[in-house]
Parts: sequence; structure tokens; C-alpha cells
Amino acid sequence: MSKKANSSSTKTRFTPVTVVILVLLALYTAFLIWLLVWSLLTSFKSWEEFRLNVLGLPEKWVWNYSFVLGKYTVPVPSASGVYNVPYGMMFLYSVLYAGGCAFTATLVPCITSYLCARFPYKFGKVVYTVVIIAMILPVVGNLPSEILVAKTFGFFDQIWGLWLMKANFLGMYFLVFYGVFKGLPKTYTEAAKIDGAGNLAILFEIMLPLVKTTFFTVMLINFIGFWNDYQTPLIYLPHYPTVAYGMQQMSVSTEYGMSTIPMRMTGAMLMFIPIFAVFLIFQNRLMANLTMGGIKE
Amino acid sequence: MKKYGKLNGYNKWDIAFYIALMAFPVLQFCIFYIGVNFNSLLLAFQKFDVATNTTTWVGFDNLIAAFRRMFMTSEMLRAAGYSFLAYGLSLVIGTPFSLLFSFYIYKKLPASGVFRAMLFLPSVISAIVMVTMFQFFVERAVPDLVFRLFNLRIEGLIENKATRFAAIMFYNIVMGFGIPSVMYANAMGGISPELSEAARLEGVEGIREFFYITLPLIYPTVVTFLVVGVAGIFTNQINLYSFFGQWAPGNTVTYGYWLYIETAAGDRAEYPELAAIGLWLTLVAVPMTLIVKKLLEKFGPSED
Amino acid sequence: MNHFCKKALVVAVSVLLAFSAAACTDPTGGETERIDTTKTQLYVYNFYGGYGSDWLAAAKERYEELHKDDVYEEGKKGVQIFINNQKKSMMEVVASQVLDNVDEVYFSEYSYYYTLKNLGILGDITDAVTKPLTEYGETRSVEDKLTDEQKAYYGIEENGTVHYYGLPHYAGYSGTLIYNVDLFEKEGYYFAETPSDNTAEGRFIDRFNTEKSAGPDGVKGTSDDGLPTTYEEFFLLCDFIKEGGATPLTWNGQYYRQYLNNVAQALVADHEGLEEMMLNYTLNGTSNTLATVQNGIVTRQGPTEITNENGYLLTQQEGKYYALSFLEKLIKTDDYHNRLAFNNSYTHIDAQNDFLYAGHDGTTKDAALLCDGIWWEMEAKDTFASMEASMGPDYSKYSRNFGVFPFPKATAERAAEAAASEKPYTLYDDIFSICFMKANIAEWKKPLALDFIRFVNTDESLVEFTTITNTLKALDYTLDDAAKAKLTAFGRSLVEIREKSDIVYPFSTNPLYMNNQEFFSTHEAFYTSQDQWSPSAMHEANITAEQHFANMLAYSRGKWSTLN
Repeated sequence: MSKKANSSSTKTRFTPVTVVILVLLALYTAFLIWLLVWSLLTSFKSWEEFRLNVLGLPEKWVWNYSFVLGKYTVPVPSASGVYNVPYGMMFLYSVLYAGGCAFTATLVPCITSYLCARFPYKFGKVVYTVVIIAMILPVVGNLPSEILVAKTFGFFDQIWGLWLMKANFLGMYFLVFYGVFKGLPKTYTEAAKIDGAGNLAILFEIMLPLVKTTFFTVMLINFIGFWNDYQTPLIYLPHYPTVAYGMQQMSVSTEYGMSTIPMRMTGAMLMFIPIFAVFLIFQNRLMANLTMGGIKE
Repeated sequence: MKKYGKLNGYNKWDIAFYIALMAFPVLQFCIFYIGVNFNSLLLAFQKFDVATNTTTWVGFDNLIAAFRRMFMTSEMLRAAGYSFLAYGLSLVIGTPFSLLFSFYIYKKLPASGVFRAMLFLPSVISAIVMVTMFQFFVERAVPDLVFRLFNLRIEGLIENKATRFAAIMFYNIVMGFGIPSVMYANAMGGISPELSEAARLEGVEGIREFFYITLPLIYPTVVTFLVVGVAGIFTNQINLYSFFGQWAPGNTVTYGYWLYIETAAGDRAEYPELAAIGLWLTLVAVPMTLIVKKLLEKFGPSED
Repeated sequence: MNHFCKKALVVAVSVLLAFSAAACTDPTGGETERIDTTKTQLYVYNFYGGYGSDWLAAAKERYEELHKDDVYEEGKKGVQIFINNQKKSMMEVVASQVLDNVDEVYFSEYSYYYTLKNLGILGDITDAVTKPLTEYGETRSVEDKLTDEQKAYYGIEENGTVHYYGLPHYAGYSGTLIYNVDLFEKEGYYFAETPSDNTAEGRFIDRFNTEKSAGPDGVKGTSDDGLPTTYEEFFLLCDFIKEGGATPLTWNGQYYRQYLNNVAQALVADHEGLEEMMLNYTLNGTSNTLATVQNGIVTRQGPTEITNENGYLLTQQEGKYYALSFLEKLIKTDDYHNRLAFNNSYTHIDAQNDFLYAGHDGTTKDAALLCDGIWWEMEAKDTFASMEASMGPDYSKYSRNFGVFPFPKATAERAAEAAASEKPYTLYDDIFSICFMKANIAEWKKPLALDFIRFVNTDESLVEFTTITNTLKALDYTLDDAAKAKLTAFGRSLVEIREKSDIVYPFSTNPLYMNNQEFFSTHEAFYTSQDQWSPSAMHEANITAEQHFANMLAYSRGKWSTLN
């Protein structure tokens, strides 16, 4: 089926309800743009000006960015002394950390939920219940033992180690995948089985392609989560500070006026712009899902 | 389950495949969940003495104390109220709006690409930054605007206790559209175009299409989010830490925030009672979640 | 998204990365200090917060110079103090990694000593603490510089002897009032020795009546002359300030619950005095200030023996009621404080900036007092610097004149008692700042680490800490006039008020205290279950001081039976 035909078939004329939705969405968008523009403008103010001019345009435009970038470092001990990790390196660590963890933390729930949703074994029910319990049960004071276990397995202070540590099936995306797999008609796999396809082939050639949009969406959401996560790197990656880690260290800083709102907004923009770019690029990828309907044919 | 298995002829190769793929997740879970948290779970039955650095077993004492605290103190009952209120508000406001927004995007109505990006945007920005921005808006910009328009001095919307919870929930709901909207839109994208085409020919369009075709077809995804929401009643901090640090006013505090603060600020000697409270929450919440799921599945719209 | 947007994005990201590359070439980036392989290293962890690291850099320089010819390892000469400045405070998570870290000596804050001890990360430093510092030309030991309460807390009895595993580091009086002395001088915000007439205004000095009253310490010619001695006088002063068109008090709106709570606790300590205040933590002794309050009339109950069973009675110390009534008046009178005093977007940095710029920016009116901690000048140093750069040297930290505002007393009777005493004030230090050596330090390095700990606690080092940070270490030492001359006006007033004060360190070794530290902390000092902290109870629920005082007893009594 061609993309064109598909898109025309889902197109709808405006109705009163959709007009209302449009208005609401426009209001929402205006609000958000206002917030973002305000943050951006704030990042171009000096903090002396910001005191008296919170909402207006900057009277004097100040380039806080090079200053903040210069301060956007985290000191880490190295064999020869202390090394200040600059923003560029933190950016790289962030990409590795968030990218790898997003992949494993998406793949494992995807496969596990596939097994639970599509195979008739009771064990699947157990897994499902475990996921629900783990989502609710608050665990207190487990960090020391988590660190200990990470060290035992040699995962501590290793980016790849965190990929494995984050590769669990727990959390809401297990349920999302579970729902998606449950919803897929049985006919597909049955037909493939009759054609003599093995389990592996069914998984990789039929099922995964069918959920690829969900997969990429979840992975993107996970990526963003890991990108903004400073707590894990703060504890587990002392030698590989990420940009979120750097941002957190900057926000607790009291030196050089870094704790003022304009400086914090500048730091926030430095964290926000790259991920926003990634998001806009992948936005296309997500939109592509509209062409993959029609499994029932 | 039985008929399913038999009908499709699952055999030992299937079992082998199942075990092979399940091995890693289960192993990972045993080490990084059970292994790591085991001691913490035992805490609910222990007592720790800082002065002597010793741990003793106390049976169900902690559980009894935790029960009293949870169900018999006004503080915790109030937290229960706000936790359920927060869920209720996101349920009756957040979910319908997310669904309608997704519908708009799915229908590719004008500027839907832009809206989609804008809906998702807040999820991209770290909460602490987003809260700072929002806080300025409601605390400074809104009063400033009112002052300019009506020459009236009003308090900030979070400063004012009457509007505080509403402002915080507004933040949580509005900034929380992103993920459900995208997931719903994805699910809607999975609906066969022929179906809506056929509906259109029969004159089913707009809101009727939404209720009679779109919603039933993506219902499993909606259920997932609602079920996750139920679990969230007991864990959602509604971003209070970003707004207030350790000093959130009582007329906003939820279970999730309360537990987080107690754990973060408390000392080891205070963990056992918190662990016990955690157990109680789990005992209440897990059956509740599963029941809600069953009910939603039973009484939801059918796909036919 | 179309191609143009995509390209624009790629350009934007590249520009960003180019900037970061530029940051890499920044000469201050990259390696900060190299390990000098010709010397022996001692690795020192420093919590890099408001007190900074300049003091440690100065100590390092002197120490390295002092030991430049000493040999600790074969083939090496001299020592290198290798500083690791980190912004992670010694919370349990960080603390649990201490044994694996390279750092050997630690300086941190907000750390509970016994929690760290239980983690097994603290090394025994008894020798460094108890032996007199003779090699540094002193007769006292570090232990001699501790208060009795500190000795009891840090000295742990094991097998019949006392062992030290840590020492207090810097002081932190969190509920401090800071006043703008320049403004007080300019506007004459001082009580006159003899009022010129019967009006409220007549009680203050003016052009014709210039002699100030003796102030809270009762001694003329000291820096507190003319300042209010009682709460009543304090509010007269507030009225006088606001009628003159200035803002009496400025505080952080986002955390007003915390900041005002700190002020209340500091007021309690100052009113109750060391002995009564310590009962809140030792839960052992006789309380003479328990009181009942009815219709604003305070009646003392007579001496009551305090034990682990009835500690909740201490919520009824009269100083607590008085502090609440002080707070109530402050909070409920709009003209006494800044407009954004309860606004959740108004941070401590905003408050500091407004306090410093007030009356100097052509827009805002003067501000007389600020509620903050004694470290505020360190946090505000960039505001000072930038005012100096744009407005001239008169606006530098060292030119401007701020001071610690001595707390007035609740009643005239207590004020008179204080004025007659050698130590008219009581300060409250709840920053839990600590210095320690890690437990698994190499045996051969121990003497070096211990010596360094001794070194930073010599009088010379303690004084140097103060002259650099304009704050205090939580040990006993005095500054001579030459050292005082190096301080900011605020630093000098801090030193001066400390000389006239007892200090409450809110901890004890009572197991009930140790197992429930959160309950006994400042955070819960005025807590009630319905209305939470007193500042918000008064501001939002319109609770009165008297109601809150009663509610505190109910809450504490209920909670008492559930303590660990």
C-alpha cells in the first residue's frame, strides 16, 4: 500500500470537536513556546538585569554560554592527577550511556513481554505480577548493596556495565509491549508456523518488525530518561560524568554566580538543545508508523 | 491457556526457545533486583540500633507500627487523599485530553506534526529545569500580568494555598501529555485505514469515529496507562521535590513524595519502619492494580 | 520535518559541539593539578560548597613548605597535599564508597558522625586529637579546643578508653539575622540611651539625641550599642524602619518554611541557653523553663526531671513559645518583610541580591536585615564582585559594612540576665560538618594523615580559615587584632559575637537521640502533624503561636511512643 493512499484515507475534515481540540492544542503550544522563549531569553540576560527584569526582553544581551561551557566541567581523579572533563567529553559519555542503556532497557522488556504474551506458559503470569509488584514496592536503603553487587560483577564505573544493569524487564514499558503483543492477531504467527518458520524467525522476521514503531518510541523515551538521569552516573560512573551529571553539579554549585537563574537556564539550554535536535530528527521516524497499519490483511 | 497451547502445537522446541530467551532477563532480575533488594526487604522485620551498630529481629513489630502510622495518623490519611486526588485528576482530565490530542495527530489535521513535537517536548527537558520555568510563570508572570491588567496584587499560584495544588496538578497533567499522547497516536496508527475509510463512507466521522472506532481499537494501550496510573497512586511524587525540596506543604503531599523524603532524609535506624510501610503499600496496591486491570478489560469497549 | 530544518539542526548541533571543543582548549580546563612523582601524596577530599576550597589551598601551601625536606617514602622527598574538590556531601551513598576512594583525609558537612562510624569508614585519630600540639608551639591539644558536648559526642568509649574517629570542621549557624550596618548608621536605627519624648520615634537616636543605649550585652562602647534588647524593642525597630520607607526583613521565599524555622530555633537556643537547650538532645537533666501559656500569659511550671520517657515535655520550653510569638508577628505583619517572602520562585540568591542591591539600584527601597546562614557572604561573593565592578570599590565585600544582628531576648527579665552575664548569647550550630581519616589508609601513611589533621587544627590554621572564609571553625580559638583586621565587617562581627556566646551543638549519645536523629533535627523542631512547620502554619493556616505551641506537645507526645 502506498503512503499516499494511506494518508489520504485517514484524513478527516474539521468537525466542531476537532476545532475545539485545535484551539486547546494551540493554547497549549503557545504556553509552552512562551516558557521556552522565556528560558532562552533568560539565558541571554545578566543576572543583575534579571533581578529587575524577569519577564521582558533583555535590555543588554549577554553571551553566558561560553562562560557556562567553560564551567561545565567535572573534576575526576586520574592516574596522574585530577582531570577536568569538559562538556564535549561529557556529551560523548552521555551519548554512550543513554544510547546503550536505552537500547538494552527497551530490548529486554520487549523480548520478555513477547515471551509472556505469546507463549502459553504460566510463568508469564508470574513475570507480569512481578512487574506490577516491582512498580509499586518502594525499596529503601538498597544503594550500598547495589553498589556492592555492581562492583562484584565489575560493572562499577563502566558504561557497558550500566547497559547490563539497566537491562531489566521491569517497569511500565513491559506492560506497553505486553499490550501490543497481546493485541497482535494470532493468524500471522500461525501462518508462519505452518510455513515451517522457527521461533527465532517468527520473532525477528515477523513480530519485531510489527512492533518496531513502539520499540523506537520506547527507546526514544528511555533515551531521554537516561539523558536526563544524573543520579546513576553520579554514583556509578565517577570517571565518566555525563552532561546531566555536569548540570547537576553545576546546579548545586555556589561559585561564580552559577546558581543564578540566567546561568541555570544557560546550562539547561546546553542540555536541552542536543536532545531536542535528536528528538526532532527522530520525530520523522515516529511519524512513519502511519504507514504500517493493516496487519489484518 | 490450555486450549491455546494445544491448538497451536507448542512443543519442546518452543520450551527450549522460551527458556533460552528468558534466561537473561530472569538472571538479571535475580541479581539486580532480588539480590540487591533482599536485605532491604528484610529490613521490614528488623530493628537497627545506631548506638551499638547492631541489627535485631523484631518480628511483626514494624508492620504493626507502620499500620498504625499509615491508617491511623491524620498526616498519612491526608497523603492518601492527595495521592488519590492526583490520580483522579490525571484520569479525568489528563487521559481524555491525551486521547483527543492523539486523535487529532492521528488524523493528520493541520499542524499535527508541530503539535506532536510540542506535546512531547516537556518530556525531553529534565524536570528540575521545567519546574523552574513553570514556577516563574505561575509565581511571577501571572501575578505581574494580573497587576498590569487589573492593577491588582495577587499571590503567586503556588504561594497561594487555595490554588497551589491545582497549579501543581496543572503542571503534572500538562507536562505529562507527551508520553501517553505519542503512545496513543502510535496505537492509533496501527488501526487499519480501511476501517476508518469504511466508517467515513457510512458517515461516521469526527467524535463519533473517535468513540466508536478509534477508542475501542486502542483500548489495550489505554488500559496499560490506566493500570500504570493505579500503581502510580502509591509512588507518584507529582514533582513536589522539584517544587519544594524537603519542605512541601501538607496540602500537596502524596505517598510517593512522603516516602521519598523520609528515605532521603532519614537515617538507617528509620529504614525498618519505612520498609514496613512500603510492604503495606504494596499489599494494598498490587491487588488493587490487578483488579482495576481485570475490570477495565471486562467492562471496556469491545473491538468488534 | 523538511530538509531545511534538518540541515539547520545539524548546523546548530555542530556549533554547540564546536563550543564545547573551544571549552576543551580553555587553559583552565583539562588537568588541574598533576601528581608530583618526586613527592609523597596525601589525598584530601573537600566538600566544595559555600565555604569553598581557598582555605585548604592555603593550608596545603604552608604544609608542603613545612615538610619539603621530609622523607615519607624511599626515593621521594616532601609531601604533596592533593585536593579533590567535590560537590557531593557525605551522605550515606557517597560515604559507603570512601574505602574504595583514593582520598585519605575528608572534610565534609551534613554528616552524622555515628552513621559514618557504623559504616566502618572512619579511622582512629585519637593520637592526633589528644596529644598537645607542642610541635606547632602550642600547649593545648585539639581536644582542648572542643566543648564538653563535642568531647562527649566525638569521643567514643571503647574498652575503657576514649577514642576519636572524627573532629568538627566548620561552624554553621543557619538561622542568623544579618543587618546592614551602613544603613543603620545612616538612618539612625538605634535606640537612644534616654528617649527624647514619649513617642515610639522618640526612643531612637536623632541629630540632637545621639547617645545610643548599651544594647543586648549591656556594655557601652561595643558594636551592639543601640540595638534592641527585647522582642518588643525589636518590633519597635521594625516599625521605625518601615515608617522610614525601608524593608525591615528580607528572606528566601522558596524555602521560607526552612529559613524562618531556623531563625525560630536559633531564638530558642539564645533564650534557653546552653544547658536547657542541650536537654533536647541528652534527654537527661532538670528543665527549669517548662511553661504553660494561656491567653498569652506564660507561667513557668517549676523544675521537671527530663528522661527518655517524658522528653516530649520539652516542646513546652518557654523559649519555644516566645520564638513562635516572634515569628507570628514577623509573618503576619506584611510591612515587616519583603513582598516575595512567601513566593516559591524567590530563592536565597534572590534574597541576597536584593539585600545587597537594595537602595543602590535606583529602583528598590533599602533593606535593613536578611535571614540567612553565616556563610551568606561566600554565596553572595559574585554579587559583591559584580557590584564592585560596575559601581566602584565602595561596593566590595571588604568595603561594605554588615554585621551579625544579636538576637534580642523575649523578656526584659531575660535581657537583664543576659546583659549581666559574661556570655550574653547562645548560638545554634546544626551543620554537622566533619573532618576524618578513612579507616583503611595505608599503615605507613597514617602518621602523615594524622599530622595533617593536627596541622589544620592548629591555632594558626584555624585563624587562617577564618581570615579566608570570614566564617568560623567549630573549635575554640581566638583572633588577634591583626587577624581581625583582615576580615570583612561581617566576619569581624561574627568573631565578636562568638566570643560572647555559648554554642549549642544539637547532638548527644543518648541512643534515643541517635536512633531518631530526624525527629530531633531542626527540621522537626516545631513540627505538628496538622499544620507542619510553624512558619507555614502561621502564614497559611493562620494558627497562633499559642495554638501551635499546644499542638507541638500533642504531636510530640503522640510520636514519642513510636520512636525507635
